[in-house]
Amino acid sequence: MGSIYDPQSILPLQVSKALDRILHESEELTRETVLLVVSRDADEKAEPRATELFEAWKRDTVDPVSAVLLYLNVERQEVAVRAGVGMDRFLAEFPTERVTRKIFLSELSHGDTTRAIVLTTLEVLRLLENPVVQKGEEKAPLLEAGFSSGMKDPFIARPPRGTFPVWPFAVLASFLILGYFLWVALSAEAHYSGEGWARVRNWIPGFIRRKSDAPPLVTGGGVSGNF
Amino acid sequence: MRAIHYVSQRTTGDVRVHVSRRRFEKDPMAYTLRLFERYRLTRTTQRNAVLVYLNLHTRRFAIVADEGLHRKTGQKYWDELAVNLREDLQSTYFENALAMAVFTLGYTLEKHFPVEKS
Repeated sequence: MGSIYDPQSILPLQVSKALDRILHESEELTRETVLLVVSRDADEKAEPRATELFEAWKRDTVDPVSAVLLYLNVERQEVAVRAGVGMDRFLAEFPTERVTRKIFLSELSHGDTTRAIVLTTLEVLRLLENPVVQKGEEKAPLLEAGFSSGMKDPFIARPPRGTFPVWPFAVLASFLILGYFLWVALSAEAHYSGEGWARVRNWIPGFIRRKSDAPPLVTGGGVSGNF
Repeated sequence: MRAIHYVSQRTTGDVRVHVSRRRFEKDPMAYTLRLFERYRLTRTTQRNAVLVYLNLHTRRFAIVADEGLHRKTGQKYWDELAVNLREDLQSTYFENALAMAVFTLGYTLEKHFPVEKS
């Protein structure tokens, strides 16, 4: 078994070779073996499958203590990581949830499976403080394989297409609220009585205001006009 | 302010003045009636409160009096007061015009609802 186990050929050959090269170079430098397993099987649950593969792989690996298995299921959109005893520290601190959500799922949601796999693998290598990734030496083989620009920058998660656009309503609501506050601020009123005067701010519109419990003005007089 | 204070000392009636700069106001009378109820001016014992409303933005005014005072004066009095107020507003500062209207109302209230000296 090499560094990449992709029985369904999900990764393009060139990219697979480039990734394999990176993983081998890393292994030579750090003596840490990283195995990438990619699957498209909808019936394969990530966690038990990763355990099963890791146990099988350990038997053939020279140094199972420093081994890391990264299992990615593109169909189930799941990520699982298994590590040897020597990598316990890494496993304990591995942010599976963050990597899954921010990189793997984010890229998959844009329909680029290759990009999702490559970026997730590179993120794992980065978390392993891998010298190849730290020096940026992973770029050259990937570029040669046709994996073009922005390879280290995952897509920013955007709402899926077809969702209801909320922002125009939010902008409209903001303008309405701002307009209302301006209107109230500019419509200052002053009420004068025998006891003094008070500035009146009508924050609550008249149609919402609770009706006064005072008796109604039934036969009072009044007049209005302009000047 | 001084005019209102002067009037309040000489009568049991309640004279109020409300000055506004409200925009988009269609009916000053309706708003004045709402203010009249909001400030609970119908709660005076002899129902003799008066509210003078002036909108400086729309240049409109309204005067609303409670039923106790209205019964004593009649609608003609309010029409005359409105004419005088309009003339005063057109010829002098609105503060002076309002003060004159308040004094006129004060005299009327003093005549019909004087403060009982005990």
